[in-house]
Amino acid sequence: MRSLAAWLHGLVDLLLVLSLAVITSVLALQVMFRYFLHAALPWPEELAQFLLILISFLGMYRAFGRNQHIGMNWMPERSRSAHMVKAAGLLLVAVFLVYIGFGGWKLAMSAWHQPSTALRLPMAIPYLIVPLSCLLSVLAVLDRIRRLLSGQSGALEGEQAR
Amino acid sequence: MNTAIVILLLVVLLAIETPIAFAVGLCALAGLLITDLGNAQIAAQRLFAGMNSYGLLALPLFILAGNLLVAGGIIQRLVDFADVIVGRIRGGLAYVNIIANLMMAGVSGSATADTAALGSVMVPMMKARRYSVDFAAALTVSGAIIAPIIPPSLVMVIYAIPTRLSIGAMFFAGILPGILIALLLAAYVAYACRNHPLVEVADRPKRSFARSCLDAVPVLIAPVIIVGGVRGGVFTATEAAAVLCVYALFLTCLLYRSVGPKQLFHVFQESALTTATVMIVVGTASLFAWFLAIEDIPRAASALFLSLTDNPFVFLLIVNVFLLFVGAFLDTVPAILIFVPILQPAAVQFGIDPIHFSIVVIVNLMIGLNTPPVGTNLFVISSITGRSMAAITKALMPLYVVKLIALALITYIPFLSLWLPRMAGLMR
Repeated sequence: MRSLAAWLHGLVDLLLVLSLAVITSVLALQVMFRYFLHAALPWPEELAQFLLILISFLGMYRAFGRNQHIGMNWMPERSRSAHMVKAAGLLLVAVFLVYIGFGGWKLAMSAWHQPSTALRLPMAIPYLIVPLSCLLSVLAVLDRIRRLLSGQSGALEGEQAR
Repeated sequence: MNTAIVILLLVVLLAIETPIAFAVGLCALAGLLITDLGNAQIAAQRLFAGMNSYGLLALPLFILAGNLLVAGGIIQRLVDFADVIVGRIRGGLAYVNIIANLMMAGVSGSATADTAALGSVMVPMMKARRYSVDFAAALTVSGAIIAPIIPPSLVMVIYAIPTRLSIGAMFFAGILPGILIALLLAAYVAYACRNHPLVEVADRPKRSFARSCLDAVPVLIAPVIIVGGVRGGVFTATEAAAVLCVYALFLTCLLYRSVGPKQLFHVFQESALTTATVMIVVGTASLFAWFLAIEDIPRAASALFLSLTDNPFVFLLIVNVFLLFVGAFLDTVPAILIFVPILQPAAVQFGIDPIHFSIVVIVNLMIGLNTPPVGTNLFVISSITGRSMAAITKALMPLYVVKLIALALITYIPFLSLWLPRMAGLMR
């Protein structure tokens, strides 16, 4: 189980890094094509936008595991009741993710025949990022809740000090 | 009524440390469900659409460029450069802090990233030369607010989403206000350090004047590329960000050879994660703004302001006090995406130029980053220096006055914001 999670983290991180590298390359390429060859390519912007969404949603999942999401931080670290209250908030986050994930799934399933503007890719493919990432994120959030309630919140993988 | 319930829910969720993005998203969903206006599919589509924007591509690229340059060790180069110029005069290192912040602002768009990067270099240096750690910390966070005001700026990229303002025009509009803040901070240093002992610089090997200048030149070219490229119409703000990344890769991997493959992977990974945490806030905050628009809150707010006053000066005063309050509690990105769509139509009704208004809002919210109880940069500098928020806040007191003077000047002298973009032909 633990090695599966580590493998998944590695894969997601690789996807994040590659996406960012591709975004940088194609947009720089676009400047060259337009400025030096006076012929802009039709697809770099759309590809880059889809990859940015991939980064955002997959990164959302990774940020849960690493406790990197932006939020307030004022309650005592070791208080049991603070942990309970935080866990309640996270449970609501899980509800949000399930709802959006479900909506994203319906959205993707309705868009198999809707091609994107430039790449002519079925819109279902970029839309599928939403339910997939929400599913992974729900698991990460439930794991965090479990850690909070069992009092091992200090042992988060790669936790960021504020 | 519905809006009141939703806002109460938001306050509660933020108080129990629910991550901002999801607190805002949950409230938007609650609002849409109460008013029976949305379902799961529409919400997911709105979230997707809120993030699917060409302008937002500048976000990961500016974050990446900033992180690359910091990993490549440019902070030390910039600090050395500033040090050989002003390091010898009384309070020298305090001026170095401001100048380094100003130069970093030209390549980085994030006040928080600059606080972390400069704080870890400047504070130990200043401590070694007998400045108080609290003063050094307070000066660093105050200087770092220039980063999103001078181009490039992540905050401006986000501001352009709901308002559809030209990012290029905002970039130019920020230059003079950013320099003004630096000058006022320098004036304060001249006063605060008037009795600081002149100490011989002995804490690191001295490099020659020419060598230090030469080392900083490639970094200082970067802002020229951005500003010049956007001004000349060579590239959009987003493409400027991509070009800046390529330039940063060239500098750090080829010229300085200070970043290896493993570190490069790490920089890309951290940049992608930072991007994601900001983008999720952007997505859910646009969902929230959509709910407010359906509830017709922007028009109600305009009407409310017009019933309070018909004087643009009074309006700006009200907006400033309100945003200073908001900024003390809410992070910059949600504050902009939620409140700007409400405030900007009102500002336009009062005859205030939207570009000028954007600079006022941004400067204001940047002060909020340094203000307790929720000041992101205060948390960062506090964890770097190991000093308590309370101690740093105490040292910040006179600097708040300086920043409020800057805010008042920027608010009531539109010329400061509008002259450069007009000269550059980016606005009428």
